[in-house]
Amino acid sequence: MQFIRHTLLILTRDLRVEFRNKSLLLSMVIFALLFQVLLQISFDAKTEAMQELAPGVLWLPIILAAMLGFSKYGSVEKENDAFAGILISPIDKGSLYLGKLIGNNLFVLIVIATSAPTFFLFLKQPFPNSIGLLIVTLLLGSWGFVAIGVFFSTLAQSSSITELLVPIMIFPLAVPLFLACIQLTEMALFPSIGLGQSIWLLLLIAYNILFTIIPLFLFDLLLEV
Amino acid sequence: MRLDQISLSRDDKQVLHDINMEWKRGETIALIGANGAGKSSLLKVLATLWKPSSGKLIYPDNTIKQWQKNLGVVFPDSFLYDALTAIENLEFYQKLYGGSDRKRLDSLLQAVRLADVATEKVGTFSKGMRQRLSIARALTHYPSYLLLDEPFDGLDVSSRDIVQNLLLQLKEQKTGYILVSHNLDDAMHLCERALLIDNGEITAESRCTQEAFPSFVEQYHSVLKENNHAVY
Repeated sequence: MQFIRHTLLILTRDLRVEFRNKSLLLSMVIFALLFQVLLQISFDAKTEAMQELAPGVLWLPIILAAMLGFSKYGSVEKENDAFAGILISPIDKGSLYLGKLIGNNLFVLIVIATSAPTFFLFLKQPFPNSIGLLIVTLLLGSWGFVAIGVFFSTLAQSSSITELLVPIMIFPLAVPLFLACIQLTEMALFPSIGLGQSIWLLLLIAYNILFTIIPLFLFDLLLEV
Repeated sequence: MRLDQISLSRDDKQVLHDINMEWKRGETIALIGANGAGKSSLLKVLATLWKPSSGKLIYPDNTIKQWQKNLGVVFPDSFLYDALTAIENLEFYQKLYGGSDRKRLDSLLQAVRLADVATEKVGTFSKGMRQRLSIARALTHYPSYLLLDEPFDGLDVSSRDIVQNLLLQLKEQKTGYILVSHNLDDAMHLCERALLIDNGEITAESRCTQEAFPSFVEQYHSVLKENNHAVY
């Protein structure tokens, strides 16, 4: 119960600070939209080749906007060294992780809600083959990516080169997630391809479980300086 | 709270050497020393922010979580969120320690003379106001032990008086604290015992009484001279 209360406390604080500052979410959304439009213009969305490029075009702006979020993620905690204030408190640090994960994921979902419709506006085929699969993929993909993002951003917090360290740590570990997201998005968008859906879906679910559960238990230990 | 042979290394530099000390519940201690002597490092170890390289910390209730619950910390950085109001900051930290007592927060804001600006964002506060709010933040959960790292630094006369009076009240209420200060008058008036720290070692100790304190002050001055600091 205490764990849930602390998780909600961290979440509401993050949302309140962001609601007041409006800098992080706004920059993420604008960045994703601009990048989405630029990609569509660059690749000429009406061509057949778009079938192969489409999943990447959908995901790239979301992933990079999320990365932008991670790089700015620490600024709230670095302000007046507030992170130290949390570290010396008696809370289970797993609640810090979960609160941050839910908050950051909400921001990424807002990015998806604005970026994905823009993607379909430009696409030759305006409706996906399976909207359900697409939504599930977007939800799971976003949760998994934010999970490793929050995990490593918090661990890199005390480093002076956080912004360099975070992508270096995240991208190699995110490869299986990217692969699953791209494959499942392709299956969701176009009717012709549909093999191996359940394997990729299982991989995505397993990835999410792994990177949600492990940090929950490791956080207390890892944040001991 | 007992420190048993505590040593600390940071970036290949030995910052604390074999520190032994005891801090009884309700005891007020002044930690005196030149810049870079290891005062703040010792406070960070006590605050559980830094883990000692060797030695043992013996907590009063044997668990680190219980120690953290009983501890309030005022460091040079305020730990406050600029986008939140004064009262929101206090509420956040009180809930972090499992409490929810609005009356306590109101009385703390009155004690640090910030009740009028309770609903204003901390980002608009002066250094003195932040420092006072930081002290209120450290007290939201009724800690039995307080760590105060130069709480008078950068305060004007009126803010200084407010903080001094608050510390005297805490002393009367038997809330123990360790006060890091360069001001020997503060140590004398606000604390019961003083420790001199030099090059990461506790080199002298004294009761803060008219009889005992002058020789402690002399020792401190000779340390400053050895380290080529100005003596006032």
